[in-house]
Amino acid sequence: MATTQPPIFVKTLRMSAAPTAAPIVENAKLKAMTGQTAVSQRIGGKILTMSDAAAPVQATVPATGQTLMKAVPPKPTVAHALPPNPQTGALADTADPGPNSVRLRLRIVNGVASVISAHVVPGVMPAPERLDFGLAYEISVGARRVAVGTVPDVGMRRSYPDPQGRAGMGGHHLQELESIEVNLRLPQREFSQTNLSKLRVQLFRMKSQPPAVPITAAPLVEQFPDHLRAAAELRGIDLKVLSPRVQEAVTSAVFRVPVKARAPR
Amino acid sequence: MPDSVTQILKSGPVGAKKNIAVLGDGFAAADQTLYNNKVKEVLLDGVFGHDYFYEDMQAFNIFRVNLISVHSGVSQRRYDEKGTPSDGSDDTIISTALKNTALGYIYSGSWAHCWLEGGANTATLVQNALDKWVPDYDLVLVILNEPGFGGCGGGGFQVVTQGGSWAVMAHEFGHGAGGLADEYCQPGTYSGAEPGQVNVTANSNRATLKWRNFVAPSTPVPTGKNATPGAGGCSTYNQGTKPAGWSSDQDVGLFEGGQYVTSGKYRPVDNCRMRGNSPPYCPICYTEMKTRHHSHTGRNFLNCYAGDFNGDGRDDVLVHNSNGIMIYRSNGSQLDVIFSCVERVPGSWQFQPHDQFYIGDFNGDGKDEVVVYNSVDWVMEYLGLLVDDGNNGLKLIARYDDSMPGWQFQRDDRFHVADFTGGGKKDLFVFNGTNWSIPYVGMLASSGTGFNLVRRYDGSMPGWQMRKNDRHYVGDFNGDGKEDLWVFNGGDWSIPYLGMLRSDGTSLSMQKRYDGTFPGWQMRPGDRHYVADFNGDGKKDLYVFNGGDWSIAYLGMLASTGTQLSMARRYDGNAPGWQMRKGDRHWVGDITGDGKEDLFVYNSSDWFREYLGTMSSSGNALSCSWKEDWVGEWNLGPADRFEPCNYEGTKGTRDLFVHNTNWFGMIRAAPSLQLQKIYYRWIHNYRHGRNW
Repeated sequence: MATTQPPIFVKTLRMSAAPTAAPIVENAKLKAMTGQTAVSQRIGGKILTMSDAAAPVQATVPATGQTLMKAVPPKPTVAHALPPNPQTGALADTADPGPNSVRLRLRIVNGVASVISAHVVPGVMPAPERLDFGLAYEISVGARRVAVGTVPDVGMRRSYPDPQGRAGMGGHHLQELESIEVNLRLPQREFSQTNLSKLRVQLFRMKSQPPAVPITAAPLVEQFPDHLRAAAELRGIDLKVLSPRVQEAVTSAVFRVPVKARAPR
Repeated sequence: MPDSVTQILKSGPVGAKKNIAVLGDGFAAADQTLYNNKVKEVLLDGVFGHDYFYEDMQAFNIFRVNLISVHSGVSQRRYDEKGTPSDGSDDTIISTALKNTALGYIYSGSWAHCWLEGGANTATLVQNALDKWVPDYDLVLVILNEPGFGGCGGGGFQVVTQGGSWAVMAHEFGHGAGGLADEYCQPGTYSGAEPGQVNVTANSNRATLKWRNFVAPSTPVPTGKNATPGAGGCSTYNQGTKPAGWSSDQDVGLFEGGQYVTSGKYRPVDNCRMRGNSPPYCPICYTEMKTRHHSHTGRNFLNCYAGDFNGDGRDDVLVHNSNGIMIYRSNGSQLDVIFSCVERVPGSWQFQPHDQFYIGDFNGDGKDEVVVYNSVDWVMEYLGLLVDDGNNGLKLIARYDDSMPGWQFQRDDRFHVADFTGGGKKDLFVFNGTNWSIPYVGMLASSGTGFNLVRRYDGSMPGWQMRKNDRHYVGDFNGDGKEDLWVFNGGDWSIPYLGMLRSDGTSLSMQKRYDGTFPGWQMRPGDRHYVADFNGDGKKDLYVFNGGDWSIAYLGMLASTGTQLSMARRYDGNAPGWQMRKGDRHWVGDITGDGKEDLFVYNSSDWFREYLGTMSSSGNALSCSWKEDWVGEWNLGPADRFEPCNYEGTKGTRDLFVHNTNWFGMIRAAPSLQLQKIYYRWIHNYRHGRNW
């Protein structure tokens, strides 16, 4: 087949908009199309061609082990269907839910944080893309950060505005709280027995809104020195000083390496 | 009746979502229906039935906890407010009437006492209930069985009476979920540092204003100024003449007054939800809510489907993510949220990550419907038909579980939308080449309310021995109004084959089979086919492209005579204006609107930069043009996906939805390729500015 210009070999250039630009030779080892005769190839060493008639089909057994579809019903059946029940048997319901998190609830009074409950919850919270405004927290094990986040609304109690808008009551009545409670979340695998004493929870109030930049691996206070001020800290969790109820909650949330069933020898 | 929990909004794993716990206090066993209805009214239909929360419901789970109180109604306390109801410091308790309720809340009806307060054990009772029923809560709503008005929020908690409105709750969620500041004004002057919340500022310098990107250049800054500093109320637009069409909640400026003062602090709009409760969030608050919760929605723009879901002639877009869908309506130049749905639509169809969507007018009403198929996420296969619910949404009207008469669904079933009966309703061809001992093709005719199998081919069709790698295309090649079936097999035989199977509405017959060659074209396994009426004669023709099996790329235009194909034009390596490469990808459209179907073409792999082009058909030849690297602000890339459509509502199919993980664009191709709209992470039309 003639082309307007001899083919040239080009790797990565810019496209030409010329109507008669030369074709790009993709693979010089291949032939050019002639448009004349069929190009055949051997399948399993044989030449296989389709018959003109509707020949019987060679059945093969697929990997699923299914064979043939049931015959079409002899009489046309109206297949209008709206089953009364919802879809059932979602495979995701039975699948491994993946790693868990621990929801750690702290009470903060006068800059002192204490654990008041712990719970294992399924799933892992997406890592925050930036540090939102609020009460920031950073949880580390030794020098390694294991969780970071922000609690948006703490330390204040607000009454709804008066619906009649009586004088002085058109907005919130605000009351600053002396004691606040917050939920923090960290991966359960970091909440191990050996890590409990090494867990460090730092809480920061914000002087101003941090810049909307990705959180780096550096400690928060180094990354946002102008915006964060220490609000409270918890250094290690000592089970012995906790009340029996909290002790039990923390113990039940501690990560344990799953024991895999072993095949008999 | 024991206490219980019911998840009333299921968006996903609690660890990956924001979880709202709803508790009731003072609802005895006989009051539980009242409580359930109230939760639905204020939270599902109210807060999550409107604007931001409706849009982003996929970021939230809601758990309704039914706690059975011994007594109906809550405890009551009366204060002597000493004539100063706004000052609680001098108040004394007149009386307290305690009831035995699940959480022990006491209603006072006194604004200065937050309208209500906890009893001696309330904190413990609430915490115990949460630990037991919703341990991973982020936000808590407590509803009291109390008719009087009141509500008290803070720390992610809202305690409300039955007299509370959803709008106030949505305002409170702005605090609890978004960290937003109040924009109320009370007499006073602020002289402190810059507040940390995104929606209030002490800075009146346009150049450094934190929401400067949302302020139009023509808007004065400040926009509203307090003429009597420290007194009065929130300033409205008073710096010049307010432009016609100015929106008090969506047009951004700098309005003095906010966060409990009337001077020294400014808010972005005149009346945001954080001031007036009822209006939607302003662009600043909306963007903050979206930004904070976007990762919790789990959404991206990878799975987008074009369709005219309201029959206005303009294509809308359906976006699927995991267990939710959203429909965005086109007005010709932009898209707006019209439907947001998580978990299921009435009927019911429960959305799952591997749902496959097929769009077409299956009932002939002029609007597109949705066929959805899932063969992966359940223990059996499901096929559903979703239609307009009359309220801009979708509902299921037919579902086939595992099978329908004459067809047993299997994992690898492949569907093709085509009106093979010619009845004006789209039908379905279905093919399975791998899950049975022999391949099958089924013809599922639409009745408008469901599908019936009208014909099944087991292993062979007239003149065609089916093989597992058969590829199917649809298009009416003889112009009789019934869409026909085209089938190609390039690898299972020693030579490639292409068959043109004519539909008579209930069966297929072989019109023409090509063995190894078309006129002027040697078929190869890598041939790619695009059925399109490129000469506008009402009969679908065939574009065929091969980029990898020859030394150069080829594109053929094979015209259908109704009974066979003839080569109208073949391009060897170069279509006028487009240098063809092996990585070229094509989509059919009618770019010029002349009834002769054209091609969109894209190459992101073979050149130093990416190219998006158009190949316009004159009937027997193509003329091409393209954009390199960028289309307007859209930076073309290898991850881009394209959906030919007609979002403008003009003749033909000259538009493209372009999308990848985080970006969504609207491109029009006439008079030349140009970007009309670009969205990042979510689709929202800001009056000025944008979220990146």
